[in-house]
Parts: sequence; C-alpha cells; structure tokens
Amino acid sequence: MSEPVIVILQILFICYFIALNGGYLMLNALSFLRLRRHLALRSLDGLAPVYSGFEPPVSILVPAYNEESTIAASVRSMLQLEYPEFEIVVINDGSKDATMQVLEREFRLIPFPEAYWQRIETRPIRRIYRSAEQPNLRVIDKDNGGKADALNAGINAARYPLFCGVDADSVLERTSLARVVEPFLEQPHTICSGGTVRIANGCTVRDGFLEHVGLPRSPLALLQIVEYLRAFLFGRFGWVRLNAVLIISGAFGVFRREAVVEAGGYRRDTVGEDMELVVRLHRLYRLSGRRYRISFVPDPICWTEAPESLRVLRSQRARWQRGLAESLAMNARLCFHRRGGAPGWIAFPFMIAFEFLGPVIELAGYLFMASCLAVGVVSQQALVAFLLAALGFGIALSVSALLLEELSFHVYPRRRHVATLAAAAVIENFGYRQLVSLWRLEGLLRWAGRTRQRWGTMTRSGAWQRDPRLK
Amino acid sequence: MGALAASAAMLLAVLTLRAADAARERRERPIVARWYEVFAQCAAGAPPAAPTLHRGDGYLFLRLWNAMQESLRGEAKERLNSLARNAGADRLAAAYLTSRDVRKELIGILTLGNLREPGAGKAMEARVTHRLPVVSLRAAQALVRIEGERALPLVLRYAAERVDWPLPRIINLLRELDPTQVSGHLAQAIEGALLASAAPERATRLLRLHDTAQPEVLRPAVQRALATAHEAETLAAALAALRDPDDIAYARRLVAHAAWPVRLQAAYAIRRVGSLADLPLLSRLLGDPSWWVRYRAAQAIVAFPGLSATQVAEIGAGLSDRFASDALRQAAAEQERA
Repeated sequence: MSEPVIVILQILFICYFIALNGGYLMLNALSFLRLRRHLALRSLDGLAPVYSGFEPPVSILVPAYNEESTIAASVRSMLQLEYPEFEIVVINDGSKDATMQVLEREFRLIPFPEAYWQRIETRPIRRIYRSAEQPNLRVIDKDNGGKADALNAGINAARYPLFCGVDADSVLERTSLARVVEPFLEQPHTICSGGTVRIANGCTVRDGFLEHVGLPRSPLALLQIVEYLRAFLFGRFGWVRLNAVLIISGAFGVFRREAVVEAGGYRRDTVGEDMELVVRLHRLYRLSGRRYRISFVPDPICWTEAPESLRVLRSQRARWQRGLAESLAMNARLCFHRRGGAPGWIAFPFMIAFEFLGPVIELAGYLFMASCLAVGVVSQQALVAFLLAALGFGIALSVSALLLEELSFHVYPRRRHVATLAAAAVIENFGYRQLVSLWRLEGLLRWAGRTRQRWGTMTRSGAWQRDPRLK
Repeated sequence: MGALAASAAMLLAVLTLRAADAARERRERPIVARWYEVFAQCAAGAPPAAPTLHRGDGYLFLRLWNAMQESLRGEAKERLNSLARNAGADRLAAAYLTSRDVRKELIGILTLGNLREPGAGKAMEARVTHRLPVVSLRAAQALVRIEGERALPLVLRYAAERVDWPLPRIINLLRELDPTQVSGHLAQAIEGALLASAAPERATRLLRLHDTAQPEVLRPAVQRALATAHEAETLAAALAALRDPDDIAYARRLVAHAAWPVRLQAAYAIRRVGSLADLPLLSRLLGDPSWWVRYRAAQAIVAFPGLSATQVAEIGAGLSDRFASDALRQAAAEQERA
C-alpha cells in the first residue's frame, strides 16, 4: 500500500471517529436542551397526582418463554401499577419449563371461552385463561413462535386501544405506565411512546418494584450502566424533537393498537422486532403522508437485569446488532425517500453510518492503526490524533452522559456512586467498547449469513425473588 | 487534547454538582421540617401565624405549601391560606408569574389558584392562551378555582379548541365544580359548537366532557347532536352521553350506521337505557363485522335485567353465526364469573 493511500486512510478513520463521537455529543446536547424543558414543565407533577378515570385504558402484554423464576413476581408487580384502568395479558409462548404451571398456581387460572379475534396471524392458541383472583389478568397459552408471535397473539387478545409491551423480567415503578402514556394524552396523534430502560443490577427490588438504587458489584454490569446512559438514554432522547426516534425498547413501550394492527403487527422473521416495528411505523406513516408522533419518555421508569457474564452479553449484543441490521434493511425505502422527513433523511442515515457500519469501521480503524504502528508507517501525530479521536472523544461522550444524568435525574443517590460511575465512564473506553464492537460485528456477520435465531438466550437469575438484593 | 480537557472539566462539574446538591439538601432539611410542623399545627386549628419567610426559600416554601394545600379539604384549607398570606406567599406568587423560569411561573399559577386570589383572574385569563399546554391548563385550573362558574365560558371555549389539552385533565378541572354549575355552560357550548358546523370536532370534544354535567341538562344538546351531526365521531360521542330511556330511538336508528364506533356506542346506549324490546336489534349486532360491536352487543344482552341465563343460552343456541355465538359465550362466562 502506497504512503499517500495510508495517510488518506488514516485521515478517514480519524474523521470517522470524530464524526461518530461528535454525532452522539450533538445528540447529548439536544437531549440536554429538551430535558431541561421537560423537567421544568413536569415540576408540579409530584404535587397532586390525580387521575380522572378517563385516561386511555392500556393492555399490558407480557410475552413469556421459560420465565418460571421471574414470571409470578413480575405479574404481581404489574398488578400494582398506579393507573386507572389496565389489563395484563401474559402470553406463554410454549415455554418448556414450568412457566404455565407457576401462573396457574399463583393466580388461580381457569380456562375461559374467549372469542379470540385473530387480526394478526399467529401460531395456534392452545387455551385462554382468566385469573379467578385478579379480574384484569388473562393468560394466553400458545404454541412456540417467538417473541414477536407472542406479542401478536397478545395484540389480538388486547381489549384496550393502547397496548404496552413489557419484558417479563422488567422491574417497573408504580407510576411507570402513567408516565409513558402521557405523550398520548398531550399529542393525540401519538402512535408509540417508549420508556427509558435502566439497569437493575445492584438495586434493591421489593415486591417487584424498585426500592433503592444502587450499583452492581459486577464490573461488566457497571460498564453497561454508563453505556445505557450514553447510548440508550441521552442518545435516543435527542431524536424526540425531530420526531425521529427509531428505537423503542421492547422492555417497555406503549403503542396504539390500531396503528400496529394496520402495520401488520410484529414481524416474526427478525430478532429486532421492537426496533423493526418502530422503523416500519415511521416508514408507513411518512410515506403515506399521515400525521403521527413517536415519543420517548426520559424518566427512569423501567429497570432490567443486565448480563453479568461475557458469554451472555456477547450473545445479547450480537442479537441486538443483527436486529438493527434487519430493521434497517427491511425498511430501506424510508432512507432518503422524498417524504422521509427527519427519520428518513437524518436518523436513518445516522443509524447506517454509526450504528450499522460502526463496528466494521471502528474495528477496521483499530486494526489498521495497529498494523501501521507495527510496520512503522504511522506518524506520531497521526497516532495521537487517532487515539484522541477514538478514545479522547469517547471518554468525553461517556462523561457528558454522566453529566447529563447529574443535571437531570441524578438517580444514583450516593457520592460514592457518582465517583464509581465517573471512573467507569473513563475505563469503558479502554477495552469494553472495542469488545462490544467486536460482538456487534459478529451480529452483522450472522445477519449477512442469515443464521436462524428466535427468542434471546439471555439467562435471568430471578434473584430478586429469592433475595431483595440483586447481586 | 481539547476532548480530554473537556472530559476533565465535565468530571469536575459532575462531582461539584453532586457536592452542591448534597449541601443544598443539608440546608433545606431543617427548613422543610420547620414548615411542615407549622403547616400541620395550622391545619389542626392553631392560629395561622407564620415564621419569617427568608429570601431564597420562596420556591421551596411554595412547593411545600401547595403540596399540603392539595391534600387538605374544608376549613383547614382556609387556615392554610391565611398562613400563606401572612407569610407573603400571595405577593411572591404574583412576582413569580412574570419569571422567565417556567418552574416559578407554574408554582405561581398554582399558588394563586389555591389561594383563590381575587385579583389574579386577569393574569390567569391571559395565560389560558399560553402556547404550552402545561401552563395554559394550570392557568385554566387556577381561573376555575378563583372565579368558579364565571370562568366556564372561557375555559370551555378553549377546551373545545385546544386539542393539546388532554380530555382527562379537562375533566379533572371541571370536577372541581359542582355538576349543577357546569351543566348549563357545557350544554350551551355544545349547542354553539353544533351550530358552527365548520368545526365538528369541537362539538365532539365537548360531548366527551358529559360526565362532568347533569344528563338531564345536557339532554337537549345531546338530542340535537344525534339529530343533526353527520360525523361518526360526533355521533359516537353523543351516543356515549345518551342517558334518557326516552331517547332510545336515536340508538336504535344508529345500530345500522356505517362506522363501527357508532354501532359500538349504540350497543352501549341500548345496554344503558334499552329494554327487552331491543333484544332483536342486539341479536343482529352479534353478527356485526366488528369484533368490538359483537362483544358489546353480547355484554348488553347478558346484562339485561329480567333475562335469565337459560334465556341467554337459548339465544345462543339459535345463532347460526359462529362469531356471534362465540361473543355471546364469552360475555355470558364473564357475567357468570363477575
């Protein structure tokens, strides 16, 4: 390779890292401006929370596959949500463990002759149950078809105009539902609203609700906290103003049922069914010129257990990356479409450049610079510039997310927590981010090879049922 | 190097903010404790003497006072108002109205509303048109608290026009008044909106507030909507407000409407005010193309007073449509287990 080509490549890699981290820093800045306004306008919310009883009722859909250790506690916590009218529909997707037996025993389920309305095609329903002790709890027992299929069965059975998809292992707060429904009240053309997902490891959970916030002992979970703040909270909230949020986490999101039915429900041929649905809704509404809004609530309202083993984390990140690739590929028409608006002209290309291609270019950049260094064809200035762009900006991005957290929610109560997270914000740039990029690349390769995959293989400990403290 | 310097500066900011936050909490703790004690004594009947309100504690004081005020009823509320006035809360709240900080403006609006400050009506009226729904709704609430029924023509006008005012919030606001105060104004607003046929959605929004008023006062407006409206949403909202058995003819006529939400509300209305004479109509609705209409019709049938479970089973046995019998079986099972 000739020297000018090497120099050009070095410059391109440096520019890419600057653009990547700079893009997220910009999103953080947008988030900050919006957050200040959001928090100021919500400043009276805690004074007198009153429901009129006319809030739109919500069907909470809980797809469950081999969730015997957590399902009972999860359902019990959801039953205690503070919201005027809601129902819980648990969909047992052909679990191989005792999920169904646990539900039958814990909630005294009885078979019920329901006039099931199959608006979205799903795998066969075996039986529908109703709880003898909880009038707003139903359970659908069906053949295994994957999470998307289970959610579709739940949508078919849902009674109410809004449905909320919740992972069976999600830990909620009592006002979670009320807060995530808020955008539907304020803007009637809202079709979807997502909640912020935080990491529950290290927190105290009692009766399925978060009692005290803490930090995990596991370094891997700790690094994920910073990552969630950086990429999944402030990185997403920045898109709200542009109505260009492309990802609503499957762990907690509310949708207008009719909009989703019209779109054909969740696709069963992707592992990223939650993101795919949101991108598809953007595409359908944008391209047909209909008014709509997809919103995102920044308040911490849903907590989930993060993987603490490298094996599980690797599998999760590869799955997420594959889901992202599938979602973008399946809705490629949105990109640069003349009616695509901000989602098609800004968010979609951003996702392709920094999320889809990110792991390829990032790893190529590291490998290229390391090779150049090994054979002595990289100047000291170029090396310093690369390290600053990749690591220096990376640290700035992680620390800025922490600063935003401190300026807004300051969820972590102790000074020790903040100091630990500050350290993690620096450390995650030396190894962790690169490792995650490698796993994401693996996900991309699986997508390219079209390897078959259904339910995620995330192993839940269900620790908070046995002990109120998560590891 | 700039990125690293920025990171170091931000890290320092994080730690400084946390230290400042901790210091603020330490400073506020005794203030909160002192004021809560004063509020509690005042609510229990002690004379409303207020300790000196220090400059800088104003926002905190107003938050605490409003939180207490929103949780009280009757005389205790009045005593707390006297205490707030003695502490200068009325002047402070009025000053906050012009603050550039929206938090202060909001707490100012809430305080003046809770104080029922007679001189603040004009300021609230001006804010009902505020572009931010949170501010305009709080102002409308304060206006209703200050002026009572007199505020209704203005509030209902904006309730009809502003789609960014969520209906549950408007209902909460109107429920602060007695239905006898709301009914006449709401009926008049609905009639006015129906006459201005260029904006039928306004009549629809107002009809959806029917729960805050007396059905008998709203009846002529509901009848007019059912007789003259063409839009499905307006008809559905009017059917939802139908409460008089003498108006059942409207519901009977609309069970054949092309839009399923209208047929659905017609089934609901028959359930509320219909009689056994409507059984054939409901049986026909059991075969409706919409699942929701079938289900509500089935619920209406099984809920009819005087219709036994055996009779319901006979109706089910006579159905040749599987969807109709499924709906009836589900409704009957629900009724049995209720």
